[in-house]
This record gives sequence, structure tokens and C-alpha cells, in this order.
Amino acid sequence: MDRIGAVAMFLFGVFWAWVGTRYPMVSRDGGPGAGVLPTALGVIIAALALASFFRPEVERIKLPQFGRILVILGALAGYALLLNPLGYVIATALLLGVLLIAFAERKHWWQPVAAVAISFGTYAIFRLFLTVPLPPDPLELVR
Amino acid sequence: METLGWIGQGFAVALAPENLLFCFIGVLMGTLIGVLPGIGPVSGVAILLPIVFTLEPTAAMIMLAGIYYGSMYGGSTTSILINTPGESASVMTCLDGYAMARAGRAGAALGMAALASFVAGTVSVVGLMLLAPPLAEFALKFGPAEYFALMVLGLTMLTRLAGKSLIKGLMMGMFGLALGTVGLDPMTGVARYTAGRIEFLDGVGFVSVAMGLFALGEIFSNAEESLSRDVFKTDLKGLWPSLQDWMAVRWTLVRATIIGFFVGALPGAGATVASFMAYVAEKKASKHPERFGTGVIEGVAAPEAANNAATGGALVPLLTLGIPSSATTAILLGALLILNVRPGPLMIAERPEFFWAVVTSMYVGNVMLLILNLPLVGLWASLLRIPYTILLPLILLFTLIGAYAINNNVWDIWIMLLFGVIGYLMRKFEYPAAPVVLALVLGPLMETNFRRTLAISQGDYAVFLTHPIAAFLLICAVLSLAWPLLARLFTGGKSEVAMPVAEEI
Repeated sequence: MDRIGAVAMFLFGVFWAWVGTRYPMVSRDGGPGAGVLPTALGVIIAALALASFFRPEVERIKLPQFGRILVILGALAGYALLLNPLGYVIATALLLGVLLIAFAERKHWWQPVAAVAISFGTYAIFRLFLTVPLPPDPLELVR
Repeated sequence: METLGWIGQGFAVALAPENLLFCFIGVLMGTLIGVLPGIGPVSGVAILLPIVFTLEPTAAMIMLAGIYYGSMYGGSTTSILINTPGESASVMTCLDGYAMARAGRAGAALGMAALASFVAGTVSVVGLMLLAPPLAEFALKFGPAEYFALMVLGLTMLTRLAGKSLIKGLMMGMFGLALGTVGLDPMTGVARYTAGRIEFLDGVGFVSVAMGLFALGEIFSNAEESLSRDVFKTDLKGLWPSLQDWMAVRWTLVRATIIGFFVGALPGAGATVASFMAYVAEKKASKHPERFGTGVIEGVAAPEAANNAATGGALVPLLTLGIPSSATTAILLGALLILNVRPGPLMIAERPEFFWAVVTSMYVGNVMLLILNLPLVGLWASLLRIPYTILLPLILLFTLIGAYAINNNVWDIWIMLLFGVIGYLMRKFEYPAAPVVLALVLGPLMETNFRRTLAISQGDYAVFLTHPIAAFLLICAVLSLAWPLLARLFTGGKSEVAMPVAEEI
């Protein structure tokens, strides 16, 4: 299993070195240019990845429970997409609603209520008290 | 005498009402981060960074330092009550702390953890005050070659200690350095690896990367396991340890504080390694080593004193040399740079009011933490009864707000998500994350010093060996990597050198 990681890092190293060679190798003052370090790093990463490929250390990895991770990833990606169009309060209420209900052992009436209350509460703390400019809702009902 | 004057002035700033408030918020958040098992000091400091950027630099640093050392106090609560460390530096506290709780002495274990943390935390601030000014004065002799060599040493030592595999640790250090080359070249202004995106011109944001690798990586790993955990229900009476307990730990506190402070100050070591070494040293020094792990009070006092002393130690290289010794201090360095404070030997000379205010605030913070952790320990214990199914969405929400607030842009959320997935895979394949963050923060500084040295020497690479301090540091860096090989040669290949493994140092 360790070889998968080694191959990924090898490809990353080769890509980094290849792009690095396109930058100047010598600067105007005669010192090393912008391409020297990235190219060198790419080559070293690829070499270390090769060493890791031929000396794998992790035999097996526990297969993940993709279900929960996919729910979290989907919810976070959805949040990133909806945050600007819907504003903080609505997007956060939706995110918390999905996560609280998805992970709870039982469904409760308080879960959607808590999602909305926390969303308003954190908006008030961060926007008003800590002056973090969170995106407002499109109708600017919550200021 | 001049130092005493600065200490007095530092206290005057630290005790100003607004700084007291930010110190309190910092240590409170730190304790919370330490108590909650799903989130460590690296993620905690990273999540709260964007919020502190709205503050004045001294208040911001007082709060960030409070979060850092506050998290060391909180970590012991989970270790003792649910046998799960709140952060990696409290792993060793589980062994005897949980055993004490099972034997009906949870109160004494929690009390000793808080008191040992207080004693060591306060003494380490004295160490910081004594050691930082002369070290800074010595470091005034450093040029770009010495700085480059010092950063190489910091990185190699962290790489050596951060994981089981040297190859993977090195690869992750290089990966972090490679990420650090994204953006405008600091010397010539050439745009590198930006893929034509304006967002990349400033580089890959270390806060989004740290939150992704540590906070999201940890959340994804936790989500795989059962989300319910049992809290040990016990009577939390008798928090003040007995005279017998005090007698048993009197030398433990001295030993663990010294070990913690100096190991914490070493580049690459940090609080986790310090707590491990203090526990092992205590076991060796004990007249009854066989009882360790069965609930002896020294087994709680040693790691807790060491991990708190390590935070004071870790601030020595950070504030005097501008070199972080762990992932958390790397994030603190990044924060200072964003706040336009350049830590290094000149800082104590040029901004003494800032340095002494931060240092003296740590005394104040330690007193606050003692109050927060002794009478209010029941409150923290009850926090552990909140189901993880409720905590997880809340931690995720704070992570998202933290990422968004860096530049008020969704871009940073996407970067955090990407590194969250990478961080999760790294955990699966046992690649350490700490070298990535340290290298990402140090990378641009390292490259600038490297190229500046070569520009001065007109391209002569031998300059790194002709400067004695730089040469010495580089030799130490090589030795730190070659150490296991050398040790095997000396022992004739018979013994493996056991090194502590720290996931989040």
C-alpha cells in the first residue's frame, strides 16, 4: 500500500522539477535564479519517493469508512459553493442542519432549531463583536 | 537593572485591562482546545489566527501565546478522564492519570496536573527571561549563511523526530519547501507555480494548509471511528494533592521542568517529545519503576510539568532567532510576520515593549490557568460529556470561519479542503504533517537567506563551510539525520535507537 503514496510523491517531484526548469537558473547578480531551488526540490522529492517505493514500510492500511467522510466533504464543498450566493446565516444553518442530522443516532426536533440558532449566534459574535466581515444574505435581512 | 525596568514595563502592559481580557480569552480557548480531543494546539491556533489579526500586535501575540500554553493545561483532563489525550503532548499522562482515575483518585490526578503545569509553566517563563536576551545578543553576529544553516538544522531535527520513517519525514519537509516556492520569487519577482491565478501570487497560505492538514485531517480520521466515547464518571473531590503526593513529586517537578524547557527550546523537539523524555527519565530515577503505569502521581506530574515547560522553552528560539521549533510555533511565526513583527535578535533591542509584555503576560496567564483548571475542572469534565456528534459540526464550522476570514475569500476554504484530503491520506500512509507546515513557513525565509549568501559570495557554495557557526550548524543537521545509522554502527547493529514519535509537535 505504501507504494501508492510513493508513486504519487514521485509524480509530484517530477512535475515540480519539470516546471522548475522553466524558470531562470541564474539571477542578474550572478547568484542562483528562481528555478534552482524548485528544480532541486523536485529532484530530491522524486529520489526520496523512489527510495520509499523500494522500501515500503506500511504493509496494509485500514480501509476507511468512506460514508461519513464523503458526507463531511460534500457538506464542506457545498458550503464553499453556497457561502457567497446565500450569505453566512443561511449557508451555515444548512451546513449545521445536514451535519447534526447526518451524525445523530436519532432525529430530534431541536437539531434544525439548533442549526439556525447557532448560525445566527455565531454571525452576531463574529460579525458584530469580532468584526470579521462574513458575507451577508442576499436580501440583507440580517445585518 | 535595565532588564528589571523592562519587566516592570512589561507587567504594566500585560496588566492593562484589554490585554488582560485577551490573555484570558487566549488561555480559555487554549484550555478548551486542550480539553476537546478532536482538536490540537496546531489546529486551534490556526483556526483562531484570522480573528486575532484584527487586534493590535501585542494583544494578538498575548492571546496566541495564551492559546498555545493554555492547550497544554487542558490536554490532561481528557487523558485522565477518558484515557484519550486532548493533544499529543498529553499522551504520557494517560498512562498513570487514567489509572489514578480508575482507582478513585481522579481529583488528585487533575489537581496535580494543573499544579505541575503551573509550577513548570511559571519557572519556564523565568528561563525564557534569562536565556532570551543573551541568546539574542549572540545571534546579532548571524548573517544570512548562519540563518540558512540554523533553519536547515531546525527542519532536519523536526523531520527526524516527527515520524517513524526518516524518508517520509524528509519527503514531507521537501514537500513543504516546494509549496513555499509557490508565488512571487522573493529575490527576482518571477511568478512561480501560480497557474495564472492571482490568489497564488502571495503563495500558498500556511494557515489554510495547517488547518487542512491538522484540523480537517484529524476530523476525517475521527469520523472513521465510533463517534461515541465513555467519560469516566467519578467524584472530583480532593483536587489538592496530599502532603505525601507533594513529597513524591518534589524532585520530579525540578527534573521535568528542566528537561521540558531545554527539549522545548531544541529545534524540532517540542512539547510531545519533552513529555515523553520526562516520563522516561522519571521512571529511570524512581525507586519503584515497576509501579509506573499503575497510577503513580509522578507519572502525571512529570509529563504535565515537561509539556508546559516546553512551551516557554519553544518561545526562546522563536522570539530570539525567529526560528520555530515545532508546527505550532511555526504558525506563531507566520502570525507574527503577518502582524508586521519580525522575531529575531533585533526584536528585543528594537521592540522591547512587545517582547517583555508577551513574556510577562505568560505569568498572568499561568495564574489564570490555575484558577480555570482547579476550581473549574468539573466544568471542563462536563464538556467531555457533549457528544462528538454535536462537537464535530461545531469544530468544522469554526474551521470554515477561520479559513474564510484569512482573506475574506472562499478560495482559502478550497485550499483548506484540498489539504484536508491530503492530510487525511498522509495520516493513512503515515506521512508526518508537522515538517510540511514548518517547511512551508520557513521555506521563503530559507531561500532568501540561501540566495543572499550566494549573491554576497558571488556564487561560491563553499561559503557555508568557511563561516564557522554556519558550518557547525550544518554539521549538526547532517548528524541529526545520520544519527540512527551512526548509533547502529557504534552498537554493532545490535540495538535500535528508540526515538519518541510525535504526531503533532
